[in-house]
Amino acid sequence: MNREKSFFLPFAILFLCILVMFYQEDIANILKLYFSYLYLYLLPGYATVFSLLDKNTIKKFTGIEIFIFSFFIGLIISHLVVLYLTIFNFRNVLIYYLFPGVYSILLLCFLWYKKRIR
Amino acid sequence: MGSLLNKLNGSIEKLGILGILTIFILAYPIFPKKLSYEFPSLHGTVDNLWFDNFIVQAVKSENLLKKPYFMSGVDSLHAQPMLFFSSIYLISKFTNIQPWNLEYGFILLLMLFSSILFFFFLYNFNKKVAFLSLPCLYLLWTLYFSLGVLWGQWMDVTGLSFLVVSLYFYSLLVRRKIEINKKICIFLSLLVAGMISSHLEYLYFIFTIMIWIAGNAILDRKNFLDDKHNIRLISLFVLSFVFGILFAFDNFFRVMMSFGKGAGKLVTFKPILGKRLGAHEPSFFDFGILAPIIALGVFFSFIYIWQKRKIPFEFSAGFCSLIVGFGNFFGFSKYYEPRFYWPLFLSIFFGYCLYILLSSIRKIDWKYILPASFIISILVVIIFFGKVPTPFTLVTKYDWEIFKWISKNTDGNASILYLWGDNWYQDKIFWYGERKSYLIDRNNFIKGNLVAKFVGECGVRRKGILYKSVCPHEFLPTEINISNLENFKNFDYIVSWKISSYPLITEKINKIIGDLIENNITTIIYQNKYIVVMKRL
Repeated sequence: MNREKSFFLPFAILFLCILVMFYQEDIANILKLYFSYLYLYLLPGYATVFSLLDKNTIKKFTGIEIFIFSFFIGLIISHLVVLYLTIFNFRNVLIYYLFPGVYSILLLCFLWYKKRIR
Repeated sequence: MGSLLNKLNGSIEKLGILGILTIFILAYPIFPKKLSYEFPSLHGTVDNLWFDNFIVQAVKSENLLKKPYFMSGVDSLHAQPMLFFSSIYLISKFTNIQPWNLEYGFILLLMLFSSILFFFFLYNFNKKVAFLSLPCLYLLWTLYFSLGVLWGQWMDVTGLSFLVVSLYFYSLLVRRKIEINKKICIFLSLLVAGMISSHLEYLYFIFTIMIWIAGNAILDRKNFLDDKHNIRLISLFVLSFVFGILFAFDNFFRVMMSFGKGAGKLVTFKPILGKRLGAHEPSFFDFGILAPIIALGVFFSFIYIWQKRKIPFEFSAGFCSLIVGFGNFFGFSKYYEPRFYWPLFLSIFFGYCLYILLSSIRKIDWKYILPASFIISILVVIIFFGKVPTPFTLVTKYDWEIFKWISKNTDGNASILYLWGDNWYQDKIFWYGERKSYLIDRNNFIKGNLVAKFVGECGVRRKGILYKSVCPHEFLPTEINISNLENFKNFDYIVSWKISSYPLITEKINKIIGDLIENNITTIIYQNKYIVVMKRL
């Protein structure tokens, strides 16, 4: 787990600095955009990766690998949620706002429950 | 240098990430400079106007799938895979930033992440080759490879990024001997679903793995097939495709159904190596001075395979990209998009060639590799200096003013004829007006023959659990002859620029506008400095 932390923080800060450097006029928008990426894609991505892969497998990946896999897995999870909710006519925007948080909390509960059973 | 390397203490890969970030910062001309443009100021080609319109409409209607009436002449669904649209849609809804300000940033982020992963892909094969291949990445930003970003081939870039991630994940399973279980299968299936949802074509992931399996099975049959891990990898590969399609079945079937009518037209043979296939497709010779190095790298990789009697997974990815990119030799002349990521995929041959050449001069050491990679990167930047293009726009503030007026002040079913605008050569621009739009055929207009063409395209409709392709011409006239003034009555509104940079055209437009008003067919209802809107009487 330390390896994940050691990568994620410096990369996240460096990335924010680069974004601020490029979009100097829009600091407020940049922060909104930055946190929306974290919430919409990285949060469900990390939740999925950590609940899907067991401890021994995760140890074999480095921090940056986990980080990028999480981002892409988060993209596809968000896409599938939006797509299938649209197909079944659940198009309330509130659902989209809530799903990354609710989804991640549910997965964490599932992980905690699994650990307790063991 | 030696003491610096000792200090890095095994984390030399961080230097690689720093190198990739530097290469991305060098792409500054491509970057949008603001997040608050009031109209699509960086969109100048048919594809980026087209996709931007999809997302703008999705954000407005809060329905990702529905294709508005004015786009296809009938209410239908999109026939495209939706991952790119849904991602921008979500962020736009969440941040309240207009979609046209988000698209470039999103694509550049995907490119950054996939470049980092590709660096590690090569790093796991050979650390020195990975560092020597870095300079090749800069070509992602040069003409014509950069058109994947600038000309709106965003679905392709998304698909290619998922391809890189899937390949990398599979290569980790191969290299690190990770135990394969059902959870790994679901993980890979999700990545395959990502590819299907971004662009179906990127399922050519199949061929990379097939080259790896077939090559190794032929060269070293006994060792390869006796290894149980390899057999599990082959089963995983098959299963992940089945589950990937199941996860993204809606995307998969919607796109497959829309293929039906036009698939035959896609098969064209153009067996040419150096020339461009069309107006803007990248060719192998866009690598310039790097092209012979890459070609030599391919030759060296064959020698490696012959000597070691095995195909490394990384080489099979390079070969596959090369074969699929040269699809024009076996009937896929229109399928040039994998070439946008050639600077990434073929960098393995570039790096490998330099590695062999340098190691033939003297024993290759880290204290030579890093300066060599740095110097070659600088040389590449100097050679390709000035070849990084910038985004351009077609929508002016005068056009935008008119589109906003039309969308607010005209009836939802109104049909609009757009007569002339020098910048109106990409017809998807009119979808910002959100009405059924016709555009004069520009070539015929110059010749004096007036024909209006509907600005729309096919979609799909649900038919039970399957889909049926539907096109505008099945529901409304897609071509209207307007040589006779009376035929202008087919349209509720007529819009035109009052001036053109060609004096003859200006004369012609003003004559038509004058005749329409004189004959009581239309009257001017709104105008700005350059554009006039007329309503049918």
